[in-house]
Amino acid sequence: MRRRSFASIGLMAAVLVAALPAIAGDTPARPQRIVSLDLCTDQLLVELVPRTRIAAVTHLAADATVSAIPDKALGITVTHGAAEDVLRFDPDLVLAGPFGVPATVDLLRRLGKRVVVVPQPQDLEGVRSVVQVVASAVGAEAEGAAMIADFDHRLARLAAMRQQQALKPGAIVYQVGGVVAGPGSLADAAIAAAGFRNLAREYYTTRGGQVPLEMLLAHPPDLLVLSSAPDEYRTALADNLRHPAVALVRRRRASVELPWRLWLCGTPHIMEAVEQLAAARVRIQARSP
Amino acid sequence: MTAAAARRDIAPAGLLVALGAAACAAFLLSLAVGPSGFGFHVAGDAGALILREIRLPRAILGALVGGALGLSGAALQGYLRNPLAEPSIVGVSGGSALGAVLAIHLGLSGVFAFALPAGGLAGAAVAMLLVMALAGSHGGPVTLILAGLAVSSFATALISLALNLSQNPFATVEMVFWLMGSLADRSLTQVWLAAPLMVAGMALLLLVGRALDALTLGEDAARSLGLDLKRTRLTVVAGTALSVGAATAVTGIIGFVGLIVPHALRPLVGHRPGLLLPASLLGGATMLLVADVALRVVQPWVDLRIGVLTALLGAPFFVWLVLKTRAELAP
Amino acid sequence: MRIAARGLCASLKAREVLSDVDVGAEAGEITAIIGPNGAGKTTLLKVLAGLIAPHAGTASLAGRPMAEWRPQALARALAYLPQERTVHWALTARAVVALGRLPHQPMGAGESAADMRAIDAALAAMDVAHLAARPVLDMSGGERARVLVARALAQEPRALLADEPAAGLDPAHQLALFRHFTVLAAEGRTVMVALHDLSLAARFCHRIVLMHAGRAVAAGTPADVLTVEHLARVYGIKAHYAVLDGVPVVVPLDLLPGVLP
Repeated sequence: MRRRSFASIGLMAAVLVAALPAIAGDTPARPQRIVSLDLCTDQLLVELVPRTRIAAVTHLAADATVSAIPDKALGITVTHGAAEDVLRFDPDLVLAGPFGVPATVDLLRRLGKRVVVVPQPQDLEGVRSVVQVVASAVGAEAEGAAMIADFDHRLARLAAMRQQQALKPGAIVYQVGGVVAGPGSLADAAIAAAGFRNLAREYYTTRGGQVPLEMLLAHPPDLLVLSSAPDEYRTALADNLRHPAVALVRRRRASVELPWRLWLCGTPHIMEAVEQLAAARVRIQARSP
Repeated sequence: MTAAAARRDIAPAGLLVALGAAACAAFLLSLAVGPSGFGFHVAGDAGALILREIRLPRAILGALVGGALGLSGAALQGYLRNPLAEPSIVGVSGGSALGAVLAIHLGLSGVFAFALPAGGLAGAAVAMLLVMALAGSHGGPVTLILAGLAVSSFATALISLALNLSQNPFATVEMVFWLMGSLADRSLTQVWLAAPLMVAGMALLLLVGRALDALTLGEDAARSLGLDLKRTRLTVVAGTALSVGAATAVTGIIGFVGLIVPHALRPLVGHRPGLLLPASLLGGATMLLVADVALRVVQPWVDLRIGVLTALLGAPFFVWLVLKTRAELAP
Repeated sequence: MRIAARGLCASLKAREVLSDVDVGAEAGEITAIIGPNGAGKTTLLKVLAGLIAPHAGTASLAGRPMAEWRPQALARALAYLPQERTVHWALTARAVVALGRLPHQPMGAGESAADMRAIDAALAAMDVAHLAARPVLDMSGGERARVLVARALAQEPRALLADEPAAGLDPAHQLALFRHFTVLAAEGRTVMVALHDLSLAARFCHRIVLMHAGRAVAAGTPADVLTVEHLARVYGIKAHYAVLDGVPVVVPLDLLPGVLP
């Protein structure tokens, strides 16, 4: 399953890269005025190329609640993503995410702009391939390779840790609105990489989605992962995170609060989340007889 | 004749007792139903906690919110002498949701928790006064519906604006939260926050029964029967704002309960608007509790919201009512 | 209870509808207010019932200005029957008549034996007892009108103000209605009716007030008020006043030239 999705993303990346006639491996074709329209491509872009070649990113890149690199993005010109706004930068490369407005991408392409649509990874291998796609699109292959090497190194260390621990505790990622991360999500992959089994499969086998709090009390997880702190957002949807039942589960079982910025996007920063989860697992292991 | 009259007097008491019993049964049923199993003895050490922390607040809210919606629907219909009046249709629910959204996103509810139901209350009161000013005291059904539509749309637009301006990453999902209400996963904290206001509002609405009866004959006759219509108006506005405002602040908009319940019960109370008030309170509580139980039995997960269910039931009912009163509604 | 008003001026939507009206209605009498459409009859009744505050002059009941009456006490003393016969919900006739007992019932109290007696008597007086269980919205206009009169009767008021109570009733029920008003007057109550039927006014009313363009232009016994000159000036009609078998009758004969287009 995981291998297949890796292959498909790799294939998609290959198609995308092949569609770009300009990057045939020559250095002079390096884009110099890059615009990013997606929080996730923002973050990779900022970490892969020097500021001088970045024309604009989204306002979210500097927002510490959702971006892993708010400081690095501070001061970069912001685009609101409408085609007209993008054109004023006269970009030679536009990076877009899968959740953008398709009409904007179409329009920019018709106007002769190079647009690379970067997929949202569903697992850790997908993260690696996304780095490759962006790195080759922006002409930062070396930087991309270094980033992937670091990622692989940390992943291997976790795999080694995992082998020493026979137990596979259950975890649930409980989010704003009572939504849990289901199979096939990046959060699910992160939990698995840290050596947990995702209880969403036991609560709710088909997909991620809303789960009644009652299930959380009836079948409490060994680790409750809150993807954001209860007070992080002003929204009625976060009321479920403040529910006494959640506090109760947190008192009785282990829990971690993982900030959204670490795994909202499939960037190598997801490894920080995986490492925190792995550390929590070590603590759980130490506590159990 | 006197015997017949006496019999008529006993019937309402019997009806209210029956409705009260139905509401109690629905309340107990609501406590017994949940995804982790049926009954009051849920397995595991978490059983008592599930009952107290999850199912109890849900059942209390179901009863109170259903009662508030049924009662305020009956009160609005009686006061406006309009069979199509209902909190969500005349824009009161929309106003409440807007007030609650502002309380949350301006950060007021973070400073003091009571700001949430207070915001709902204020929004409901403003919406209600606005609709009454737009439709006028002698506005017919059509005028009232149009005024309600205007206020409702405006409230929805402002909710959307507030959510977008707040840079809330969940803006679209939260829109659904407010427009299609739900009773799921509410806490006792939220119940204690909203319940006093809802109860106070319902108590106020129950006071206007005599006035609503008298208003059956029109405003002049009602005043000549010694009723203070200014005070009645104030009581209806305050009672609806308190009960619907506080309810909506905690659950989001649950539509059509205030339309269906009074209509279903009106023939049983001999069309008397005063007696319809307590009947609709109990009937509304029963209806919402039963609907919420049905929702959990058919689909134990959270995704289907009770506001969706009541709208599914209520919208066709509304159409039927419009067809029924079409002669009256024709220009 | 005597109803009296001096120097009444009242406006509706900035238009003066009553100017300097003096009227009085005695206990034990039926007083009719007559006049053409728009003469101010309805407004006068509403002012006398305490529903409209005059901007000049005073109206009083039993010597007490209307403004000093507490609403509940006023409603026990005075009943007002509006001209429009709207009933908004499908209440039964009995339930409508029972509304007349509201001023006599403390909050939350049910019907007392006295209430039931008053309701049954009112239903019988207006010949609608057999309709008691029928919804008023299913009734004919005349039946509904009688139910609404019965509502005012059930109030057992010392003073009754009725706006066009006879409109839409068949002749038999018109006569029955005014016979009952006569009984009420004989019991010492004050009865005041706005009327269009001049023969009814002539036959049953002790005193008549003739309104024209917001003023009371004549007041007195039927013979004093229903003169050929008054009817010509106020209504613009040529009318005949006669007494047939001891019963006074007013018959409009023709329009006077130039009164209506």
